[in-house]
Amino acid sequence: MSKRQLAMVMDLNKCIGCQTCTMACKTQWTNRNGRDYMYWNNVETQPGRGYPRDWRRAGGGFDDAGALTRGRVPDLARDYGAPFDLDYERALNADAGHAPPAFAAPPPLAPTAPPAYGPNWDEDQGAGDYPNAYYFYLPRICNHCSNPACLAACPRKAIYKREEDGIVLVDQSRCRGYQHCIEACPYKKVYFNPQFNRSEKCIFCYPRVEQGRAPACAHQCVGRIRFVGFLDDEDGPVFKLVTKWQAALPLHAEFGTRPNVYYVPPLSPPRLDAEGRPTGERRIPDAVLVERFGPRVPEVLALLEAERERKRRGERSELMDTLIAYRHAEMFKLDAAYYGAAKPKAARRVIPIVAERARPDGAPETEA
Amino acid sequence: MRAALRARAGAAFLAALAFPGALSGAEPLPTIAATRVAGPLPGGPRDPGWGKLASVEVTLYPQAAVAPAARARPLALALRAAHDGRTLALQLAWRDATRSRTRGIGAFADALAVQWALGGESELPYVGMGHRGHPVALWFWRADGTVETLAAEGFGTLSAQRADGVQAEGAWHDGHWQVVLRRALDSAASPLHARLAPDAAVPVAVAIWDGGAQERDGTKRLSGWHALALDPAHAARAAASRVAGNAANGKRLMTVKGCVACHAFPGNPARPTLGPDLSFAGGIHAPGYLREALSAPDKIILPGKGYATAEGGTRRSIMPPLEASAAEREDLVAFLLTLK
Repeated sequence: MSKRQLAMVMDLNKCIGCQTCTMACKTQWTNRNGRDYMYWNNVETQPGRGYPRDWRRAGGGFDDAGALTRGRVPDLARDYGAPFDLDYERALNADAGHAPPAFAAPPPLAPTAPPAYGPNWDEDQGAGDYPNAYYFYLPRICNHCSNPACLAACPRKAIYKREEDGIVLVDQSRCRGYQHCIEACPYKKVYFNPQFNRSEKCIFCYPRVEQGRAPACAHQCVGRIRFVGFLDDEDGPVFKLVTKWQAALPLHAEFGTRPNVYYVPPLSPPRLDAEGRPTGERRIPDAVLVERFGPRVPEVLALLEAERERKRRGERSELMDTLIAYRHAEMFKLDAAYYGAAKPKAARRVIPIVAERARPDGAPETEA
Repeated sequence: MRAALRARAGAAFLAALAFPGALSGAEPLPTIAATRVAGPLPGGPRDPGWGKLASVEVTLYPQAAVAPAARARPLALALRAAHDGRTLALQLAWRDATRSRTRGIGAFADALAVQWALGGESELPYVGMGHRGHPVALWFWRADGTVETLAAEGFGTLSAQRADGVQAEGAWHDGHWQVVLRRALDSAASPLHARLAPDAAVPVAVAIWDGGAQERDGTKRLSGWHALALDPAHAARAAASRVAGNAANGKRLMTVKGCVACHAFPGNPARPTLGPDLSFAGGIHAPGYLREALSAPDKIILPGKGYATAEGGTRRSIMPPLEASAAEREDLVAFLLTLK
């Protein structure tokens, strides 16, 4: 475990599924060099199969006895969805030599090969039947776990957790592309780069964080759903939401990795009865949320309703004021000066790289 | 085919030779004699010239001691070695029904590693990637056509080195890989490059990975140490015998001395996981290593959950040093050597 831990809180009541976070991340990190298929940040519709497809059932994490379990590596076409190109050639220059009859519909602009899946494949499908259909958006990044399964699975100690802020990173100079980490991560947030033959993952935008800036996904979020800060910083929004108000919950804590992204579970409008009258039940069944965010969901939803009601009456609510996020800058509590002092670039060599350094007697010696 | 390989192997396979040269530990290793050729060396993997050279059968055993272990059967690899005084050429051939050429998301390529012991020490490196202070040099060929110069001194320490000039070419035909590796004898430019000294036999071991079976990392099959001799004079220096112990009594002692409580091996119904699995220990380990593992278990501790404790900053194996007579030790070693 690291000395301190950065964390992110995402308020699912405010996520509109616009994918601005996804695009912020992609243009910053994953639109090139073998990363095209990767979404370090994705937003999926739940209930749904998610990205990669059926990740919640792809295995990994720790069992009840604390033993690491092996999952599977998702398939590029079937589970991630291979990035495709649109066939402009066919759509725009439909066979110049044999012009189609004037009455024929022009060929549609379609992918060059039909895709089998994609990162937002079942958007807005959700579950339930009219008039009680429901869904919510679930943005996901690496959870920068306190007990990372990816780290535990790597025999080369290529994955490490930074002491100063708990960010989990893959040391590219140690990784040999074994992909044990991909099998082991129950959130399937480690990816194999087929160009460099190494594993890569969300880096919590550490170069931004070290300058006191929030990760790109959080900074760009138009819904202002993402709060970033140190878990132990009592003045920060993360501490308030996670520890003080206990209104934010980890995703699938039963995977045993102790994730550090927390979610404020979504409230929903009431279910309608056969006559179309609102009932006392919430549209998103509690069981659906409990399955993902654990047994405290009903308690947190009741708290949110109570605090919302308080605000409605014109009273003060620290919880609601924090979640509303009147000021963008107050959603993030980072500190460039802390990084200056915490010497984040300190040498981290769990196992030494075997490097030449001849001893006078000619026998090889290795770097300790 | 296997029988044919065996028959040819007999000519060059001189079992149980004293290991000459600097490795004065006199570990008796099976020897591979490289053929000195007057004319040009055989070329690519399917050059008929290779067929004229004697082949040695090297048995590769599943790596069972450290997770992730291999769940495969032992495999016979046919090794041919030749040199012309300037370049060493090795041809390694083994059966692999499926050709896996490329790496990708969830996909692994077939691969081969040749491992050379380094250092003028009196002790062989641990056969699985060396151990601290006893590094190994490796040539790592992958079916995607790449070859790497690597070094390691224990589990998890495998590191890229500057290229030592090794070249590799592989051909898959009719369910078999044939891979040729060649390197100039004198191109070692670093203490972590393989030294192919014509004046001494060099300890060498081989490992293969079946990419189609998702094998990578420690999920591999490996040989024990062999001694590659470039000069027939070294290959001819035969040692007397290996281990005089009584294997049947050794098997009995496995229970008497409590080994069965922690180690899995065929014949131990308990399959405990407190210590490394010994299923193929006799296939990959030389007697000297086994003797030392019994008397000084702290010296090389394999990575495994609970295999070691930290006492005052030093790692100690949870295995106590064996208390037994000299004869009993040899009996145990004799039994362990049957595990393959």
